[in-house]
Amino acid sequence: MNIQVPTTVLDGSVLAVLTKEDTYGYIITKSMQELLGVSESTMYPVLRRLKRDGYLETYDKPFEGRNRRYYHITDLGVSHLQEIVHSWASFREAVNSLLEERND
Amino acid sequence: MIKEYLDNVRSYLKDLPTDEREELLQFYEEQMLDAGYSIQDIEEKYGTPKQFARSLKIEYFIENDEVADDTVPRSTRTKNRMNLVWLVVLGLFASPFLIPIAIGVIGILISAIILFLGILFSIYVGIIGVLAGGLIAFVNGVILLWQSVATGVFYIGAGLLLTGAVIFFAPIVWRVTRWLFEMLVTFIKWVGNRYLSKNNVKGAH
Repeated sequence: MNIQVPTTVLDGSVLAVLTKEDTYGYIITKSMQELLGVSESTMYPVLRRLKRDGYLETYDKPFEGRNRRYYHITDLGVSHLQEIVHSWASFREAVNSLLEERND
Repeated sequence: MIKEYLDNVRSYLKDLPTDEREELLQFYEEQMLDAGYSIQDIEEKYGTPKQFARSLKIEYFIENDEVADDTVPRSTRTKNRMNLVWLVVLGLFASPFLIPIAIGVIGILISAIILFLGILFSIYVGIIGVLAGGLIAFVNGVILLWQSVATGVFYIGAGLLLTGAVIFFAPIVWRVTRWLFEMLVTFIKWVGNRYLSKNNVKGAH
Protein backbone atom coordinates (compact mmCIF):
# COMPACT_ATOMS: atom_id res chain seq x y z
CA MET A 1 0.00 0.00 0.00
CA ASN A 2 1.64 3.19 -1.18
CA ILE A 3 0.53 6.76 -0.71
CA GLN A 4 2.53 9.48 -2.44
CA VAL A 5 3.55 12.12 0.04
CA PRO A 6 2.53 15.58 -1.19
CA THR A 7 5.32 18.16 -1.38
CA THR A 8 3.60 20.43 1.12
CA VAL A 9 3.55 17.61 3.67
CA LEU A 10 7.28 17.01 3.12
CA ASP A 11 7.98 20.71 3.63
CA GLY A 12 5.92 20.73 6.81
CA SER A 13 7.53 17.58 8.18
CA VAL A 14 11.05 18.94 7.69
CA LEU A 15 10.15 22.28 9.28
CA ALA A 16 8.48 20.44 12.19
CA VAL A 17 11.61 18.35 12.81
CA LEU A 18 13.66 21.55 12.89
CA THR A 19 11.44 23.34 15.41
CA LYS A 20 12.76 20.95 18.08
CA GLU A 21 16.41 21.70 17.38
CA ASP A 22 18.87 22.47 14.60
CA THR A 23 20.12 19.30 13.03
CA TYR A 24 22.13 17.98 10.08
CA GLY A 25 21.16 16.35 6.80
CA TYR A 26 21.43 12.71 7.72
CA ILE A 27 19.18 13.02 10.77
CA ILE A 28 16.53 14.73 8.65
CA THR A 29 16.67 12.26 5.76
CA LYS A 30 16.76 9.30 8.15
CA SER A 31 13.60 10.29 9.98
CA MET A 32 11.82 11.03 6.68
CA GLN A 33 12.93 7.66 5.37
CA GLU A 34 11.71 5.81 8.45
CA LEU A 35 8.38 7.57 8.83
CA LEU A 36 7.38 8.37 5.26
CA GLY A 37 9.59 6.08 3.19
CA VAL A 38 11.09 9.01 1.31
CA SER A 39 14.62 8.73 -0.07
CA GLU A 40 17.42 11.27 0.44
CA SER A 41 17.36 12.04 -3.27
CA THR A 42 13.85 13.34 -2.71
CA MET A 43 14.88 15.31 0.35
CA TYR A 44 17.69 17.27 -1.24
CA PRO A 45 15.42 19.32 -3.54
CA VAL A 46 13.04 19.88 -0.60
CA LEU A 47 15.81 21.27 1.61
CA ARG A 48 17.20 23.33 -1.24
CA ARG A 49 13.82 24.87 -1.98
CA LEU A 50 13.05 25.61 1.69
CA LYS A 51 16.41 27.35 1.97
CA ARG A 52 15.89 29.35 -1.19
CA ASP A 53 12.48 30.51 0.00
CA GLY A 54 14.01 31.68 3.28
CA TYR A 55 12.27 29.13 5.51
CA LEU A 56 15.55 27.74 6.77
CA GLU A 57 19.22 28.65 7.02
CA THR A 58 22.35 26.53 7.13
CA TYR A 59 25.66 26.72 8.96
CA ASP A 60 28.59 24.32 9.16
CA LYS A 61 29.94 22.63 12.27
CA PRO A 62 33.19 20.66 12.26
CA PHE A 63 32.83 16.94 12.99
CA GLU A 64 35.64 14.37 12.83
CA GLY A 65 37.77 16.44 10.50
CA ARG A 66 34.93 17.34 8.15
CA ASN A 67 31.94 19.64 8.18
CA ARG A 68 28.37 18.83 8.91
CA ARG A 69 25.82 21.25 7.51
CA TYR A 70 23.22 22.15 10.13
CA TYR A 71 19.73 23.38 9.26
CA HIS A 72 18.00 26.07 11.28
CA ILE A 73 14.35 27.13 10.90
CA THR A 74 13.81 30.88 10.43
CA ASP A 75 10.89 32.97 11.76
CA LEU A 76 9.47 32.91 8.26
CA GLY A 77 9.78 29.13 8.37
CA VAL A 78 7.87 28.96 11.67
CA SER A 79 4.93 30.91 10.26
CA HIS A 80 5.04 28.84 7.06
CA LEU A 81 4.81 25.72 9.21
CA GLN A 82 1.72 27.15 10.94
CA GLU A 83 0.04 27.58 7.56
CA ILE A 84 0.88 24.02 6.57
CA VAL A 85 -0.44 22.67 9.88
CA HIS A 86 -3.74 24.47 9.28
CA SER A 87 -4.13 23.29 5.69
CA TRP A 88 -3.20 19.77 6.70
CA ALA A 89 -5.84 19.74 9.44
CA SER A 90 -8.64 20.66 7.05
CA PHE A 91 -7.31 18.30 4.38
CA ARG A 92 -7.20 15.43 6.85
CA GLU A 93 -10.71 16.17 8.03
CA ALA A 94 -12.01 16.19 4.46
CA VAL A 95 -10.28 12.91 3.55
CA ASN A 96 -11.43 11.25 6.78
CA SER A 97 -15.03 12.19 6.19
CA LEU A 98 -14.83 10.82 2.65
CA LEU A 99 -13.14 7.57 3.63
CA GLU A 100 -15.39 6.90 6.59
CA GLU A 101 -18.60 7.69 4.75
CA ARG A 102 -18.31 4.31 3.08
CA ASN A 103 -18.88 2.48 6.38
CA ASP A 104 -22.25 4.05 7.10
CA MET B 1 37.21 6.04 -1.71
CA ILE B 2 34.06 8.11 -1.22
CA LYS B 3 36.05 11.22 -1.99
CA GLU B 4 37.32 9.66 -5.18
CA TYR B 5 33.79 8.67 -6.19
CA LEU B 6 32.50 12.18 -5.56
CA ASP B 7 35.42 13.80 -7.38
CA ASN B 8 34.44 11.64 -10.28
CA VAL B 9 30.82 12.78 -10.00
CA ARG B 10 32.04 16.39 -9.80
CA SER B 11 33.90 16.03 -13.09
CA TYR B 12 30.58 15.21 -14.81
CA LEU B 13 28.79 18.19 -13.25
CA LYS B 14 30.89 20.93 -14.84
CA ASP B 15 27.88 22.62 -16.44
CA LEU B 16 26.18 23.30 -13.09
CA PRO B 17 26.89 26.59 -11.30
CA THR B 18 29.79 26.08 -8.86
CA ASP B 19 27.89 26.91 -5.67
CA GLU B 20 24.97 24.66 -6.59
CA ARG B 21 27.32 21.85 -7.46
CA GLU B 22 29.33 22.08 -4.25
CA GLU B 23 26.20 22.28 -2.10
CA LEU B 24 24.84 19.18 -3.80
CA LEU B 25 28.07 17.24 -3.36
CA GLN B 26 28.42 18.34 0.26
CA PHE B 27 24.92 17.02 0.95
CA TYR B 28 25.55 13.61 -0.59
CA GLU B 29 29.02 13.31 0.93
CA GLU B 30 27.51 13.84 4.38
CA GLN B 31 24.78 11.30 3.64
CA MET B 32 27.32 8.69 2.59
CA LEU B 33 29.67 9.29 5.52
CA ASP B 34 26.95 9.54 8.15
CA ALA B 35 25.18 6.45 6.85
CA GLY B 36 28.52 4.63 6.86
CA TYR B 37 28.18 3.38 3.29
CA SER B 38 30.95 1.37 1.67
CA ILE B 39 31.82 2.10 -1.94
CA GLN B 40 29.82 -1.03 -2.91
CA ASP B 41 26.74 0.32 -1.11
CA ILE B 42 27.14 3.60 -2.93
CA GLU B 43 27.46 2.06 -6.36
CA GLU B 44 24.49 -0.16 -5.68
CA LYS B 45 22.41 2.77 -4.53
CA TYR B 46 23.49 5.53 -6.90
CA GLY B 47 25.16 3.68 -9.77
CA THR B 48 28.43 4.68 -11.39
CA PRO B 49 29.61 8.29 -10.92
CA LYS B 50 28.48 9.02 -14.46
CA GLN B 51 24.97 7.64 -13.89
CA PHE B 52 24.65 9.43 -10.57
CA ALA B 53 25.82 12.71 -12.10
CA ARG B 54 23.32 12.33 -14.92
CA SER B 55 20.32 11.88 -12.65
CA LEU B 56 21.51 14.79 -10.51
CA LYS B 57 21.77 16.97 -13.59
CA ILE B 58 18.34 16.00 -14.86
CA GLU B 59 16.85 16.77 -11.44
CA TYR B 60 18.69 20.06 -11.35
CA PHE B 61 17.52 21.21 -14.78
CA ILE B 62 13.91 20.13 -14.14
CA GLU B 63 13.79 21.89 -10.78
CA ASN B 64 15.52 24.92 -12.26
CA ASP B 65 12.96 25.14 -15.01
CA GLU B 66 10.04 24.92 -12.58
CA VAL B 67 11.24 27.93 -10.60
CA ALA B 68 12.45 29.98 -13.56
CA ASP B 69 10.61 33.31 -13.62
CA ASP B 70 10.80 36.52 -15.61
CA THR B 71 14.22 37.41 -14.23
CA VAL B 72 15.71 34.55 -16.26
CA PRO B 73 16.31 35.66 -19.87
CA ARG B 74 14.27 33.63 -22.32
CA SER B 75 17.37 32.63 -24.30
CA THR B 76 19.00 31.14 -21.18
CA ARG B 77 15.81 29.30 -20.33
CA THR B 78 15.47 27.88 -23.83
CA LYS B 79 19.12 26.83 -23.73
CA ASN B 80 18.62 25.05 -20.41
CA ARG B 81 15.53 23.33 -21.77
CA MET B 82 17.32 22.14 -24.89
CA ASN B 83 20.01 20.85 -22.55
CA LEU B 84 17.35 18.99 -20.58
CA VAL B 85 15.86 17.40 -23.70
CA TRP B 86 19.33 16.26 -24.71
CA LEU B 87 20.15 14.88 -21.24
CA VAL B 88 16.92 12.89 -21.07
CA VAL B 89 17.48 11.40 -24.53
CA LEU B 90 21.09 10.48 -23.66
CA GLY B 91 19.99 9.17 -20.30
CA LEU B 92 17.43 6.86 -21.85
CA PHE B 93 19.96 5.49 -24.30
CA ALA B 94 22.39 4.84 -21.47
CA SER B 95 19.97 3.28 -19.03
CA PRO B 96 20.92 -0.37 -18.63
CA PHE B 97 17.86 -1.23 -16.57
CA LEU B 98 14.25 -1.37 -17.86
CA ILE B 99 15.45 -2.12 -21.39
CA PRO B 100 12.02 -2.95 -22.89
CA ILE B 101 10.44 0.13 -21.34
CA ALA B 102 13.41 2.26 -22.37
CA ILE B 103 13.06 1.17 -26.00
CA GLY B 104 9.36 2.03 -25.95
CA VAL B 105 9.97 5.38 -24.31
CA ILE B 106 12.83 6.21 -26.68
CA GLY B 107 10.53 5.38 -29.59
CA ILE B 108 7.79 7.64 -28.31
CA LEU B 109 10.28 10.37 -27.49
CA ILE B 110 11.92 10.29 -30.90
CA SER B 111 8.52 10.34 -32.60
CA ALA B 112 7.50 13.28 -30.42
CA ILE B 113 10.66 15.19 -31.33
CA ILE B 114 10.34 14.35 -35.03
CA LEU B 115 6.67 15.33 -34.95
CA PHE B 116 7.61 18.59 -33.26
CA LEU B 117 10.33 19.38 -35.81
CA GLY B 118 8.06 18.26 -38.66
CA ILE B 119 5.21 20.52 -37.63
CA LEU B 120 7.67 23.36 -37.13
CA PHE B 121 9.24 22.79 -40.52
CA SER B 122 5.96 22.63 -42.41
CA ILE B 123 4.65 25.74 -40.67
CA TYR B 124 7.74 27.75 -41.55
CA VAL B 125 7.97 26.43 -45.10
CA GLY B 126 4.32 27.35 -45.46
CA ILE B 127 4.93 30.88 -44.23
CA ILE B 128 7.93 31.41 -46.48
CA GLY B 129 5.98 29.98 -49.42
CA VAL B 130 3.02 32.26 -48.89
CA LEU B 131 5.25 35.27 -48.33
CA ALA B 132 7.26 34.53 -51.48
CA GLY B 133 4.04 33.88 -53.44
CA GLY B 134 2.64 37.18 -52.21
CA LEU B 135 5.72 39.16 -53.21
CA ILE B 136 5.95 37.49 -56.61
CA ALA B 137 2.26 38.14 -57.27
CA PHE B 138 2.72 41.76 -56.30
CA VAL B 139 5.74 42.28 -58.59
CA ASN B 140 3.94 40.38 -61.34
CA GLY B 141 0.93 42.62 -60.90
CA VAL B 142 3.02 45.77 -61.24
CA ILE B 143 4.57 44.44 -64.47
CA LEU B 144 1.21 43.31 -65.85
CA LEU B 145 -0.35 46.65 -65.04
CA TRP B 146 1.12 48.07 -68.28
CA GLN B 147 -0.52 45.34 -70.37
CA SER B 148 -3.86 44.92 -68.69
CA VAL B 149 -4.98 47.07 -65.81
CA ALA B 150 -7.54 44.53 -64.56
CA THR B 151 -5.06 41.63 -64.42
CA GLY B 152 -2.39 43.86 -62.91
CA VAL B 153 -4.71 45.10 -60.18
CA PHE B 154 -5.82 41.53 -59.51
CA TYR B 155 -2.24 40.35 -58.96
CA ILE B 156 -1.31 43.37 -56.87
CA GLY B 157 -4.39 42.74 -54.74
CA ALA B 158 -3.60 39.04 -54.34
CA GLY B 159 0.00 39.83 -53.48
CA LEU B 160 -0.99 42.35 -50.81
CA LEU B 161 -3.55 39.93 -49.42
CA LEU B 162 -1.02 37.09 -49.05
CA THR B 163 1.65 39.35 -47.54
CA GLY B 164 -0.91 40.80 -45.18
CA ALA B 165 -2.05 37.33 -44.17
CA VAL B 166 1.54 36.38 -43.27
CA ILE B 167 2.02 39.52 -41.20
CA PHE B 168 -1.31 38.87 -39.49
CA PHE B 169 -0.75 35.17 -38.79
CA ALA B 170 2.97 35.26 -37.95
CA PRO B 171 2.47 36.06 -34.22
CA ILE B 172 -0.11 33.29 -33.95
CA VAL B 173 2.25 30.82 -35.59
CA TRP B 174 5.03 31.93 -33.24
CA ARG B 175 2.71 31.30 -30.30
CA VAL B 176 1.77 27.87 -31.58
CA THR B 177 5.47 27.05 -31.94
CA ARG B 178 6.19 28.10 -28.37
CA TRP B 179 3.21 26.12 -27.16
CA LEU B 180 4.43 23.02 -28.99
CA PHE B 181 7.88 23.45 -27.46
CA GLU B 182 6.25 23.87 -24.05
CA MET B 183 4.41 20.56 -24.56
CA LEU B 184 7.61 18.84 -25.60
CA VAL B 185 9.46 20.10 -22.51
CA THR B 186 6.60 19.02 -20.24
CA PHE B 187 6.72 15.57 -21.76
CA ILE B 188 10.51 15.41 -21.43
CA LYS B 189 10.29 16.42 -17.78
CA TRP B 190 7.74 13.73 -17.16
CA VAL B 191 9.98 11.13 -18.77
CA GLY B 192 12.98 12.42 -16.82
CA ASN B 193 11.15 12.31 -13.50
CA ARG B 194 9.58 8.97 -14.20
CA TYR B 195 12.51 7.04 -15.61
CA LEU B 196 15.78 8.80 -14.94
CA SER B 197 15.61 10.70 -11.70
CA LYS B 198 16.24 8.91 -8.42
CA ASN B 199 13.97 11.48 -6.90
CA ASN B 200 10.87 9.33 -6.77
CA VAL B 201 8.73 9.50 -3.70
CA LYS B 202 8.09 6.09 -2.25
CA GLY B 203 5.01 5.68 -0.14
CA ALA B 204 4.97 4.72 3.52
CA HIS B 205 4.79 1.04 4.27
